[in-house]
Amino acid sequence: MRTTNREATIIIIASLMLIGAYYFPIWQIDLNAPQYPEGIGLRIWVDKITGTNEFDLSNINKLNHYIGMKEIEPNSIPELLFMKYILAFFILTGLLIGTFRFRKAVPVWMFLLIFALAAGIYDYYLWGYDYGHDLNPDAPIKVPGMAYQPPLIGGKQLLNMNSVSLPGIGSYFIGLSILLMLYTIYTGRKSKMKVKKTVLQSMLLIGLLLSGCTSEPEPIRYGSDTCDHCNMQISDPRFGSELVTAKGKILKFDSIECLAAYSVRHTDSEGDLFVTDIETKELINKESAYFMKSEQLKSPMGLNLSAIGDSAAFSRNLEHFSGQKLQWDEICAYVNERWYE
Amino acid sequence: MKTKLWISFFFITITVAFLMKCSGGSDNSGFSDAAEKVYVAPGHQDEFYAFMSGGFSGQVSVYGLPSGRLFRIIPVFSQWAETGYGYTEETKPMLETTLGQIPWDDAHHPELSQTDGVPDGRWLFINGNNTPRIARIDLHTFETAEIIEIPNSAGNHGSPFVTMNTEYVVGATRFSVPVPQKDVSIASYKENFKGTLSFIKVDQSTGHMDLDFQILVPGFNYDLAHAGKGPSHGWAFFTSYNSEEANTLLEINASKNDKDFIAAVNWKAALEFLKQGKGKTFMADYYVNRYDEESHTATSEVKKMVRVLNPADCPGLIYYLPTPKSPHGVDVDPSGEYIVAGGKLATVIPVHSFSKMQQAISDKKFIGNIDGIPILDYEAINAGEVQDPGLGPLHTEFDGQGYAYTSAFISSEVVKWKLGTWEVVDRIPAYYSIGHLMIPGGDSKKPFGKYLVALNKITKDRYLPTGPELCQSAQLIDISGDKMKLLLDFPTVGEPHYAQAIPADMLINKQARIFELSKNKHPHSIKSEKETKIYREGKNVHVYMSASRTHFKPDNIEGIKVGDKVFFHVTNLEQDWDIPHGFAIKGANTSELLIMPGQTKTLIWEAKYEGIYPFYCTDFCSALHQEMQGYARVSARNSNIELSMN
Repeated sequence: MRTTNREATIIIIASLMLIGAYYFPIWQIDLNAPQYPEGIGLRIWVDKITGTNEFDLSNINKLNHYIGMKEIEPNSIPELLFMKYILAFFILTGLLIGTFRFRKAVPVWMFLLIFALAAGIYDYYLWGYDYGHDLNPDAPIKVPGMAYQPPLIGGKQLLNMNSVSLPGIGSYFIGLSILLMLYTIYTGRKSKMKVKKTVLQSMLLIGLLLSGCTSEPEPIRYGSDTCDHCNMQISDPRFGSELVTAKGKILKFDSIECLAAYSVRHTDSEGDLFVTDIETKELINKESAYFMKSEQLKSPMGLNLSAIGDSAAFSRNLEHFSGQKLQWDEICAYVNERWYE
Repeated sequence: MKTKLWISFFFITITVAFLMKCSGGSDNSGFSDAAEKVYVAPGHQDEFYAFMSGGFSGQVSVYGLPSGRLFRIIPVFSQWAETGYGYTEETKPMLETTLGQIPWDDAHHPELSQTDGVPDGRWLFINGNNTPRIARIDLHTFETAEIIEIPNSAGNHGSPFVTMNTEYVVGATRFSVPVPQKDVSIASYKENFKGTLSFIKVDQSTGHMDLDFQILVPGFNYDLAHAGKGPSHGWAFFTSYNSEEANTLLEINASKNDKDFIAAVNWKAALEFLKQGKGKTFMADYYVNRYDEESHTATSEVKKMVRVLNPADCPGLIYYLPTPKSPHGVDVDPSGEYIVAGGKLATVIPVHSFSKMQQAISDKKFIGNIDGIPILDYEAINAGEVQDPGLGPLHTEFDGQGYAYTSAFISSEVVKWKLGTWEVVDRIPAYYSIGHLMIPGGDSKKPFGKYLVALNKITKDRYLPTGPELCQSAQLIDISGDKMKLLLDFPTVGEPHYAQAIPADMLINKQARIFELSKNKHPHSIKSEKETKIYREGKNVHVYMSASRTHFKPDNIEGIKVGDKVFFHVTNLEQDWDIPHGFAIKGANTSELLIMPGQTKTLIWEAKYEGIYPFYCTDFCSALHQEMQGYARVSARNSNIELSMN
């Protein structure tokens, strides 16, 4: 079903509207304090961070060093490098959809954009959290229990500064673009059901596409999944481990030793390694795990390796099972020695 | 008995009532009404910037009107230890003259630059009286940008008045001396002593001053000046007294003649005469000192010669207008037609008419000449005389509504009179002994009006006394209505001889908030902490130091030896509004440094004795200001401690 002329025009306008996000900030943080009657603040753009006034960014960094906050270095924020390309992608695809009238693609496009916007906001939240909590212990001014995470949206008092964080004009352009697309979906519907169906289909499609894109581990289906190294069934919920490659591919193993063996044998297996916390039975990142080798706590493939996240619990286990603490590289060496030499 | 009692009671009542009526007149104040008019609420701004000369302080002070609050003292001719002006290597050249470095002068008359006869907010000029000089202050940084010395001159009093478009700023000698200087007996005044009128050209884009030419004139005391405007543009008028040419006890000997002169100079004609080659070149040294905002450094240049015009060679260049009596101020009304003289010892205010003067010149109504300068007939040029103008009339300014206001020193009052009719319409007492007065734009083509500021010499009981030395005073008078109303008294810095005011909104948005670090061209500046360093050149140690909240880098310096001269080149790396840093070190025989954001200043410290010397920031800059300190270590001359820093 082809789109009408009017709908096509709106789609094109909505795509072009995104260009506004290049020319206006997408987010703004304003700091209000009595000694700054002229105002001081930050403007976040798709590809840079500037101040409200010329030297604000550098002055904010100076003020922040008193409370131990890191310097905001736009050059080391990767999102500022690729956000403009993501925006370009949406503009171009939107224009294509409008020009060639791919009606079905409209909801897909719209939801992708909503997702991108949501992902951006979440990412910004994470950045704000880190920035406000990762404080220098040698900071001259330390207020017990105080953290300086700027509000995601709205106002918050941080010591003598009242911080107001709001979407910038650029974000309103994006919002308007989404609304316009929503409008074309609404007006172009033949029947409500068909629209709902299209919307659901596209959301599903996006969900599937994106699921492969995360680096989060997938739950292991014990009794069902097989180990990608030794091909045995993964059955013991205390030892399952996983590798999520950089490309999002998920590999599952029945034990820590199989995971170690795989990563040693496959030097192209870059990614995040996860092991089961023997106490909580949850998958935890290898980087935050403590590893124990103990004859008294046997593991599926016989090398008797286990992992735990809490250091106090780990100490207890070492004692209880007369275990030996190993670092990851020691585990890899041990596995290599036992199986491949 | 009873009747007598009643009659006496009646008479006593009458007497008391009579006495009460006769004592104490109105003082034109109306207190609560005035309070509202001068109150500038917190968070709000004054309407006008007022620039007042410091007189014997040598500086210019900046006030707000109507509140009368002092905002800043701008150092011009006197060293200013607060910031290091005149102490730092960068600013010492500003005070350089042919008679050596002079750390003080007597600053009399501020004058705003004008365009089309109206203040334009670019510069403020002020004269130095004792060592003849003119300074130019930049009005977006409020810093002294240039000082030019005037040769062949003494007592540069009739200065620095600008022409309508600031083409020229003038100087005039209060004290005649031999030109060029020579050793003669003082009694030979009449034969040997001359005056000079100087015309300094102002470059319209940079403001740079250049002494274009001088006119050699008879040895009178040239007192004040003003340039013409409108029809009289192209002319400048200078009052003179001591036409008696006395050299001693002038109080008596210069007050004998019934009339002295206003010299009317046709400077446009002067330019023609110069083109015709009539100017003689006199060899005369004079300094031109310029402060550059980007290098934050002043440099001096010595000029060697000046072109001088002799009136005898230039007919039509200059005329004398007879003016009673030892006139002080000469003021040109907004229309450019009336030339008002403050006849200090006269009983009237004489007003000359420019158009009548032109007529008298073409009709050759001369009554004599002095050294080739024609003297015009008083009756032929006179427009009118204001009768009963108070005793000792000095200065006149205008409100642009057809009225003129003249200060009278001896009777201590301001007299308001009408142009054209010459009648006095109002008077208000001044407390006490008024000298100059100022109306915002009052000497321009379009006065801003509204207020009049009386500048008074004697304060006595007006303020809380502070020992024998008392401040001088300014009084704010409301001239918006028919009758003048006193609003406010406020104390002033030094002795303001004159003032100029400009609407605040003409300057507010032009104010620099910082100096841009990226534009800093000071030879020993740094742009970041990475560039800080120290190095030795013989006995000179150079430290390139940064000041930034809240530390100096370096803050520990070792390896200085006894006998070294240490140059601290401190750059304030801030680029934030109102965050200066100071710098002082124990034992420095000079003032501190006060450094604005983006600026670099140098302090020289001589390491005389072994030991440890602390240095610190003297201006409260941040919460950790008390922690902004450092140490310099001085070792024995023959020690082998290497220069090091962290």
